[in-house]
Amino acid sequence: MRLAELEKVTYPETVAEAVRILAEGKDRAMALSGGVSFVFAPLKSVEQLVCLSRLPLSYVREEKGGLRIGAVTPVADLAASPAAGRYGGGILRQVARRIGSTLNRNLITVGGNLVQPFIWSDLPTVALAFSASMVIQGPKGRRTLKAEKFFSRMPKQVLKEGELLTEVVFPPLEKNSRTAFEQFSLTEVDFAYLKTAVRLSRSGKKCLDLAIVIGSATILPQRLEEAEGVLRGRTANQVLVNEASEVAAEELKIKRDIRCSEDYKRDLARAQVRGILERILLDQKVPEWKLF
Amino acid sequence: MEIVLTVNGEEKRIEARPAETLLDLLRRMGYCSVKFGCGEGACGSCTVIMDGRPVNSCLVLAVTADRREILTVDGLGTRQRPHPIQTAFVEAGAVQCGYCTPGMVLSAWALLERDPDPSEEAIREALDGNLCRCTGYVQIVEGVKLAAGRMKPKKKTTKKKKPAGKKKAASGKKGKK
Repeated sequence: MRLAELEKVTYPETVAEAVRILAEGKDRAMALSGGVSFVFAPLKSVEQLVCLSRLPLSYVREEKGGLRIGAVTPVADLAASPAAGRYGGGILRQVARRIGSTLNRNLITVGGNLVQPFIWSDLPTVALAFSASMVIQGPKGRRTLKAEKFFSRMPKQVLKEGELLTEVVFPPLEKNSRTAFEQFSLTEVDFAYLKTAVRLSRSGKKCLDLAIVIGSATILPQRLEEAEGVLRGRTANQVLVNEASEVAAEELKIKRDIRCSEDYKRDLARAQVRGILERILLDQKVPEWKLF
Repeated sequence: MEIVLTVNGEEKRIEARPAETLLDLLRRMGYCSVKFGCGEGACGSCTVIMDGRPVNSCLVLAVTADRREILTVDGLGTRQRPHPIQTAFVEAGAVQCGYCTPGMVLSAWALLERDPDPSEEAIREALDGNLCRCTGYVQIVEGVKLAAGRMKPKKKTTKKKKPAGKKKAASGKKGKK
């Protein structure tokens, strides 16, 4: 941690106060939520840390079939939340339970995990698959960004000076929607080689809408729109599912990983997407990959 | 930067250095049961309870712990009056080199505070951030089970008054034996 120039730490108790301090501090002030990423991310020199732990932003609330999660909510609370368990087949809760260790989960916050993603992060992949909205408070007021926009670049570049992520809103899911999340890692404590989240709505075998998102291929999760286009609005069958998984594997951008080749990751992507679609779209009894 | 910490029930005012972690600060204050292991939140040797939750103190910037309540294993029990978890660890042989033990005990304490009767799976999950380089996990899990059994609040059993007739019949049977 390089904090030699640190002169001041503030503990705002309201969002408005936090935003004001951040805006006044400009690039010399930095918001600090759980603070865990400081160990892994090179820290620019800051003069002021704005500690967010006293903001009233720790909650998981159900609202009209959707979910509102405060940015300062520890992921341990998300992992234990019955409301999160009821949303989207419990994927959020399942994913939150897998982040770090019990000790880490008490420190890592939902907002921190989204604003400072790493190649191993799980929540950004799920947030993108569910088209979550990010509520951002800044000196010029409040704005809401869809996950697609929020993860179009590193979120810290998307946030303007003085802006703060305050809440993540997971929208209500359509009727007949199905969801799945799978990841592949060699051991329980290993970072995933690749992870896939799929959300779709269907009428019989007809796929009305879908989102296919792959994480851990690059730092930011990728929505595979060409693959989605193969199935959207069409009555699914094995040929289409195979085609969609082929297209997904082809369009995926892959960052170098010393653990395996790029081809291996493409094969993983193809297999994950196909397996999930066979299960939740074609209703085949495809065994789930063991989720470590 | 002066911060106020409540450590093991005692309020302390202390000057924290800008880049100092809570782990380093606590050790500087003399709480040497909080161990340095990996320094990156992987091993759990530095576990403390912060506002009721077990955390890696190596990942907490000391200045952000202002006005927080910290519990280290020193606040749990003493050599003369050890905490039931500590006693159970000794009896189960859950201590080998002892380096991970303070963290293990605190994680176990946090678990038993919220779940007095945990399953083995819950125990293993609660200790998933605490590594034992001696690999004595079987005894550690046994130690937590033993402590849970001893600490479990005894259920209040209210004796139901049996109807007079039945009581007589029961005593009558007994008498026949």
